[in-house]
Amino acid sequence: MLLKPSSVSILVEQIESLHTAAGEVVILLFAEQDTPDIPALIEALNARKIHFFGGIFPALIYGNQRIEAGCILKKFKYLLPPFCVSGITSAYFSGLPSVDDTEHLKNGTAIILLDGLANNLYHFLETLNVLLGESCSFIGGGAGSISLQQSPCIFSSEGFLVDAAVVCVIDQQVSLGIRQGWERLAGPFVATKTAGNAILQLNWRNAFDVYKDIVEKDSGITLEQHNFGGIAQGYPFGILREKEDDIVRDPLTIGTNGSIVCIGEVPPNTVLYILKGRPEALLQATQKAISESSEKDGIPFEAKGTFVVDCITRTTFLNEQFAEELNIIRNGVVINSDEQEPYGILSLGEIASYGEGLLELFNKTIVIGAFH
Amino acid sequence: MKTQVKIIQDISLLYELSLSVGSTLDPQDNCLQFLRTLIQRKSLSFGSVWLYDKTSTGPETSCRIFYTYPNFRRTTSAVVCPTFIRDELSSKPYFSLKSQTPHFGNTFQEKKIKDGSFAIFRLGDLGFLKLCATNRPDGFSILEMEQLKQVVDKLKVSLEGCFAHIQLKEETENRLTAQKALEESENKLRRIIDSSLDAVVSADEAGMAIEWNAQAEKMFGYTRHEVLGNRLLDMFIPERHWHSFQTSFEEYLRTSDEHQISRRFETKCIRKDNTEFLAELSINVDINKKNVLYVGFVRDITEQRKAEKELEQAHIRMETLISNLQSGILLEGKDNKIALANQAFCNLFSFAITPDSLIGLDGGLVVEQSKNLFTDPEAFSRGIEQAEKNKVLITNDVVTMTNGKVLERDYMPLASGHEQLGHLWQYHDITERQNTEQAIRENEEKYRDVLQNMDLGLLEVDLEDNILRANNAFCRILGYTPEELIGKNAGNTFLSPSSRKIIDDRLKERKENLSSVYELQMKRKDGTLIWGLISGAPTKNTQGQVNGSIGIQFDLTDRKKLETELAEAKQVAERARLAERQFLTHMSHEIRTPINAVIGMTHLLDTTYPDETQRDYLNSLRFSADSLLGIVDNILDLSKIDAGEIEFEKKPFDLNYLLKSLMQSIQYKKDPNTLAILEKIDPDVENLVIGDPTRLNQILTNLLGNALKFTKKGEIALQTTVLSKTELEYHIEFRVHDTGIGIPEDKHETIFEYFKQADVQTNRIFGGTGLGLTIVKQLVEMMDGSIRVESKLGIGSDFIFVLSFGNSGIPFAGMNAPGVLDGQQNKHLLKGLHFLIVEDNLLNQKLICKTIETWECSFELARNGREALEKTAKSLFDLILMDFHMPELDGCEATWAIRNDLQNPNRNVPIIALTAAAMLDDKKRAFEAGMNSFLTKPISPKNLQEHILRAILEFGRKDGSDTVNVIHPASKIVSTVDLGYLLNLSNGDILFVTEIIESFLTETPNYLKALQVVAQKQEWDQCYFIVHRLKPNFDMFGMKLLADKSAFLEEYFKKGSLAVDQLSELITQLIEGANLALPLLAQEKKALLL
Repeated sequence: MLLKPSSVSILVEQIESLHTAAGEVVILLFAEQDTPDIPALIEALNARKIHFFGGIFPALIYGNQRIEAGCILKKFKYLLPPFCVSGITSAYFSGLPSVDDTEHLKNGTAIILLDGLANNLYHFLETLNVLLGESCSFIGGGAGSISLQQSPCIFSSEGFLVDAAVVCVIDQQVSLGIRQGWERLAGPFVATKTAGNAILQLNWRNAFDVYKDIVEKDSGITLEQHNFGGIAQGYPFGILREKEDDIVRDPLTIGTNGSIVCIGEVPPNTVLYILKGRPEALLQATQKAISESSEKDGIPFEAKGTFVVDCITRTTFLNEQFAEELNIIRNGVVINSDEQEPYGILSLGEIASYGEGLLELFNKTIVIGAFH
Repeated sequence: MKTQVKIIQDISLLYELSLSVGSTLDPQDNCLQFLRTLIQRKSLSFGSVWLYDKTSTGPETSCRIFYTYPNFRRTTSAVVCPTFIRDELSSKPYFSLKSQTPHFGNTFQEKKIKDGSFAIFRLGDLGFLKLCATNRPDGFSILEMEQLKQVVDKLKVSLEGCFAHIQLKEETENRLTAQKALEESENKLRRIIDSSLDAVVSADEAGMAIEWNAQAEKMFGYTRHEVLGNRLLDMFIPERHWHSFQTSFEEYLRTSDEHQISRRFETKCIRKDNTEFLAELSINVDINKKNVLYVGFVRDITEQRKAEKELEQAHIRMETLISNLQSGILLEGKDNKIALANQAFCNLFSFAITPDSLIGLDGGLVVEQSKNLFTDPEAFSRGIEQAEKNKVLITNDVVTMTNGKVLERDYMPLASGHEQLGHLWQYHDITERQNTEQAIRENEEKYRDVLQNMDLGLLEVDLEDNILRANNAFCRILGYTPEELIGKNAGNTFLSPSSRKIIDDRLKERKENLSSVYELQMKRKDGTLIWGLISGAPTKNTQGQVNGSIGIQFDLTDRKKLETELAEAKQVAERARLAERQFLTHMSHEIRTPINAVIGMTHLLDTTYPDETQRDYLNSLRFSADSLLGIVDNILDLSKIDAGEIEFEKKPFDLNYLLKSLMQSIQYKKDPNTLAILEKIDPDVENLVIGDPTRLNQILTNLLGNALKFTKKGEIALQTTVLSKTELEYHIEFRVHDTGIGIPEDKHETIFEYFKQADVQTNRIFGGTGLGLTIVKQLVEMMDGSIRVESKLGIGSDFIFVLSFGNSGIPFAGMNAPGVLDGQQNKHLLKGLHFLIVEDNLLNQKLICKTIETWECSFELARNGREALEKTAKSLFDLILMDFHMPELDGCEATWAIRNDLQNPNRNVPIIALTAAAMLDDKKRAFEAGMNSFLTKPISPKNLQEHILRAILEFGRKDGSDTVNVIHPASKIVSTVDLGYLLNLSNGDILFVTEIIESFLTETPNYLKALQVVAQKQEWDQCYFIVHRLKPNFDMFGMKLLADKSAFLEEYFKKGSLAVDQLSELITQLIEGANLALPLLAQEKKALLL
């Protein structure tokens, strides 16, 4: 259900009207404009013993609309109640539950909402993969503000948190479509020196020099500190994944010593490409993603619900054509009831598992999860 | 171009993987780095490294998973490798399985892969690597396998290095461990020798010391250094024992079978300080390695000997103790032989032998012999057998003997550590105790029965209000079974919320050891509410501490119901009575008001010089109105009497005056030609009597009225006789005599009943309601008197009644109350006052206004309460006459409003209520509203004048003073003037007296003004000065109350013991009193000059 920006009391009223039973959880997705008093909301819901979790995102998707302010409420049965993991930037995060038996989770989907501006998410995701990866699929995305200022953006009964993640395994199977549509412009390069999110060297050369040569040649614009962000969003890196789309890393700024700082980690000695965006290719990828998600074992099915995690930078890149992306998604979904309207988040980083494979953090990607 | 990219990709993979392996010597870490990179890069799902188990021979367990990525330990830890993988790998370096491959289903399927592929690579002799991919439905291509083989080989080399390193590390560690163990062992031995409690010494063949441990140093006082190399024997055996030791030692060596076997013998030893001690010595001789080695262990046994001796003594003490115990004791060794028994045991078991003679006998035999002493011999012996078999402590096992004795036996197994030493039986004779306990139990049982079955509810709770016991009756009353109540919280179970507080208070009382009886509403199980009368008391434990409470409950529900019904019935009755009274009040008002007007008007008309005929008419009119008023009054009086509303005053009055006025008033009502009025009043009443003059007047008026009515000729007489008199009381008989028609004897009783006249005929001739005598009788009786009639038909009647009056002690001649002031004087005092008359009835208005005009007073008129409020807000009055019943705002409401409006200038002005109604309730309402006096219509000018005067003098205006509370009753100043003292002093010199008065009248107002000023400034010294000056003057002019007040004030100024507001109040009263008195004095002066 989509709600306009509302007071805590109205939100609570609406949530109560969902009549959550034992074993059910409410997901609350907020657009960052006009959010209510989240701590008060947490207190009110805790007082009513309602299981819930959620996050605050740059914007939301509902139907074929981009929602700048408001809230999406969804109720699910859960297999594993929501848990918060805090301090995910460090390797010493806390809050993981011990899951002794994953057998009962095998038909579930883990929904992950995390602080999109936290670093070193690789370690957290790998741990989560070990914890739950044997049994269930994953879908989720990075919360936070478009201003890229880190602040509390994840919440559950445990609080309103920064540098944290919340995970809940719901009792629905999901078919995933993960596509990005960016095309290789140059490469491969070996990231011979990296540090977390920063690429220091490509093929033993200063990373920025290599990048600058290629991007300037292609765009015809001289790349400098001040215009880097604007131009670089059209030329991201792609980490090679054989037989799958490259995993996109979004160059954000020029670091000291000519490094390029990305959103998302780049492991050392990774093989990279420099990619280029073409709106038609991105929209084709969207079409692919929606098609793939609406099939299970190669057979199309009518999804009970469609959760879309779309990168906020795709919207800035696609600009007016972003409306088309949303139309493609909505047109690819069977809608017989309100519940089947696609809904989702414009995120800072997308999370999903490639097929039966590993849990990955993507950038500039669209992840569509269709629930069976 | 594409090939080039591909080549670069491949090389980069090789590069990436090469970098990721070999960076660590830890094989697991190596696997992690390698698998993570490979799986991510190649978009695989899962990878695992398997190692051959070199120690195992079975095919199933010959391989185990060493590492997986992702690290799914849960599902992979117990997986075994299918044999075919090993078989396949023995001939191939790698192979791929896809879902169509026959073996696919048999392999261990990570992530439950259905459509996908496995790639398996040999890792040399170590084991193999297994990769799985769900995104390669057609298997891994040969090219990919080749490419992967290259990188897997890197892993193989790296792992071989790791394991070699581990093996080397393990070997080094093992060697170090062995070396460490050897050192440990040596150290341990040394520590054992050093920490031994025995001194360990050793000597070579020649007897020279070669070992001397720490304990030896301690025991003998020689250091190791001092001893080594010296002859050992010389060092620690006293010289005198050398020979015997030598002999014993040789004997010891000779008799030993093997020299290695040690034996112990005792010997005296000597310390470095020459003290000696007894030691136990054991010597080993070791001749194995050619050299003979003597090793000796020396133990100081001085303490041991001492302890043994103490033990023996303790044993003797214990034996003595046991033999003297009251309980029978039987101690048996582990062989069941009796080791000890005491006399008490023999007595209990009727053994006619000494306890000592039991020692050594078999316990079983004793049991067998004595078991028939017990009522159940088999149980007795079985108990013993079982106890001795189980060897567990038994206490308080009761056995009964055939001679009626009851024994309690305890069984105690005796053991030292794990070693069984035997056991002890103890028998107590508890016959006495048993009997007492039985008696108590029976008693308790009896009471429990009583409590359980009595008809009253019983509930016992602990300090937290938890139910401990509830008897049958309680359960029945509340509708529960006992099981439903025990353990529950009493309050929560059957208290209605309104009772909560009551029970909490009671619980508090119980904790303070208090009992109480109270009523309590409780809730039954079915929710209905019941009432109980509870008698609760605290319960106590054996230490006397309160541990709860017990309550007996009597079911009050039925009684409560009855009470409620009664209360409701009473309420209904009271409502009815109230309605009746209101009706009567209303009626009396409605009837009396017009009559009042009629009567008043006849009075006024009389003053307009009517001619003879008009006067006759007026007389008739007045007579009719009076009669009607009489009837209404009678009815009203009766209803008052019925309602118990009548009240009797107790005030001093002049009885003679009352009787004389009464007789005077009937003088002109009779026909002087045929009827004589006589009075015969006992002169023995010299003081004012205390009683109700109004009611006495009413009784006599009634009787005299009857006499007048029924007597045409002859005489009517009133006679009083003082039957007795004391300082406190007069006892007076009143007799009203007439020579009228008389009353037949059989009617003497009934004439006093309601509506009864002697004869129906009488009514027709004489009229009347027949209520008069009823009222008379009731009034007399209510004043604790009695009335009777003596009468003869045709001759006349005597009505006789006796009443008691209080003796005031005041001679009636000295009375000077406003009530008896003479009319002229009153009129003079009232002159110039300004009245407000509040009256809605036009005729009454005229009557009152006319009366007031005749006193030369001014007035304003208000037609209702609202107008009265408007008028009082604007101008100041000396007095307000307030009608009671008015439209819009009635008299009480208006009075209340005036009294409570701080801005109203008349808020302290006297207000007199005027009412036709005269019920007690009205009077109460009037005074509560703040009225000062109460006047019942019809109003006679005289009556009105008296009330006004009294009100002015008593409650006269106090300008600006808000203090209503008067300090004490005597403080109300009634101004009087008496020139007797001055006239006396001056021998009647009027001129002198008038001069004195003149100067007093001139200077006093100034003093009074000054007094007011300094009082306001609270300059009490100045106040005192002025009051002190005034006081003699007040005395001089006979202004007694003012003089007293001044003296009173002087006193308090001196003492300073009054509060400021009280002083101010007193001063104000003095000033007001003086201001009232000054005009009187001026008047007196004028009178003197006339």
